[in-house]
Amino acid sequence: MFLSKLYREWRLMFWCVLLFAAGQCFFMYKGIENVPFFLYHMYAKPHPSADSVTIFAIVQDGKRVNPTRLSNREQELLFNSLGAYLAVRNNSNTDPIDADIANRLAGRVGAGVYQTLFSRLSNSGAALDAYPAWWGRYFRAVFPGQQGAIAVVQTRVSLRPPFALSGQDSLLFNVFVP
Amino acid sequence: MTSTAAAYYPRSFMARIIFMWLFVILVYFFLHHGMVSQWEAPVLKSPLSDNSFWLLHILNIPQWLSRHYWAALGFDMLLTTACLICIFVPDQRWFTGITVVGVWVLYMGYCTAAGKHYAQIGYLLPPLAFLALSPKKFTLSWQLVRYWVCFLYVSAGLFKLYYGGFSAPDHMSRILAATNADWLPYHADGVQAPVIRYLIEHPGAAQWLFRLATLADLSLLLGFFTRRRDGWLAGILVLFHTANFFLLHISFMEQSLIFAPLLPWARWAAYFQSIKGND
Repeated sequence: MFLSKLYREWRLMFWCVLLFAAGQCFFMYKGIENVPFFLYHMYAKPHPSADSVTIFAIVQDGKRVNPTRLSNREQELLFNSLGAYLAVRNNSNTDPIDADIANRLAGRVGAGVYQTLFSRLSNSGAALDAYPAWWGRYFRAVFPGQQGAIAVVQTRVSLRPPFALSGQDSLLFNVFVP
Repeated sequence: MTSTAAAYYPRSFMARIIFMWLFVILVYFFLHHGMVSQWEAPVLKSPLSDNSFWLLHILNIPQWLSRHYWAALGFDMLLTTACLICIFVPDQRWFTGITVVGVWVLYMGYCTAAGKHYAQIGYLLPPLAFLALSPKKFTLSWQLVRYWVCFLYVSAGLFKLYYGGFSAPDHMSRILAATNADWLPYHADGVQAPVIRYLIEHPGAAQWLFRLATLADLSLLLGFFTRRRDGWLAGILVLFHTANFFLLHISFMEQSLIFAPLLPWARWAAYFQSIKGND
């Protein structure tokens, strides 16, 4: 058996592996991912039924910019970060992580250290205000030549054929791409 | 690896190929604005509740790196150069260490900037084994990485069974509809769209595809008992990720290095050795 071979030939690694396995079991039990204890449970829970879904869209001169010509990585940076931005904005401009930080650190470290740790983990109002400008910069990098006024909107797409986009967009922000 | 217990994996040969493979992935990242210096200094961070991410953020590493262009560029160049050195000078540990640390920092920095905790991890695991230099320790490390990969997929299959995705009647068609909601409006024609639309409109067929995918995950269980079927398992994983790419647009390139622990390295090394010998 591999583990007994490992125990015989490289004892330190054997104990490291056992420790890692224990950590993996613990985090699987708790249901939280802590890199490098990966939880591979994507798409495992039954997907909720819905008639339509909200997506982000980019509008320029009244036309939608096709984001699917970007790579996964580019799309994720542009669109997933919008989700993170909205999560803070829709939470009265308070980062949802703030409660976690207070839960884990408040009272355990001094006030000065707490403030430093808080600022390193939580998104401030200033970061939120600076986000549209960052988004515009990254947009310019991945869509070279696509300049001018850009609107980032949320819109609904029907999940029934022919998957039509709803005509009503809700504006997230406007950004000017030089 | 040959079946004799004393046989070791050909570390130098493997290092050249694995780090070449990783280099291609880094070039892919570069071409798709995925290196730190190309992120345009993101302002938001998403460490979520992950303690490792918290530690890295408390140390201010991803924030500082991504917000200082020259530091980010230096990091990208150091990572890429270290990876190149690992190809040409495989029998060293320093640059292997720099590459390993570099790709993990790149991964975590990217996840926090994109607000996505489940980015593809294939390129993170195989390079770890090369931190071991001696043939014996490298062979054991490579086997550990192989078991880790098998575990990840088996656990994915078990999660699908445990949480009920496997038995739900229309789980896959809903995933396809939700994932393709922002893709289908731009791709009415072509090869992919009709297949995706058919599967969305036929939940039964889509769900059997999901069950096949779960079985593909679970097939890696075989990897815990024998290495003789690794070729088959690698083939199954390639098919699995090709289908993910085709139907769900999940990046194949970033994940591709995860196949490496299941490939017949000893046979390939012997083959290249024989070609060299004939020359």
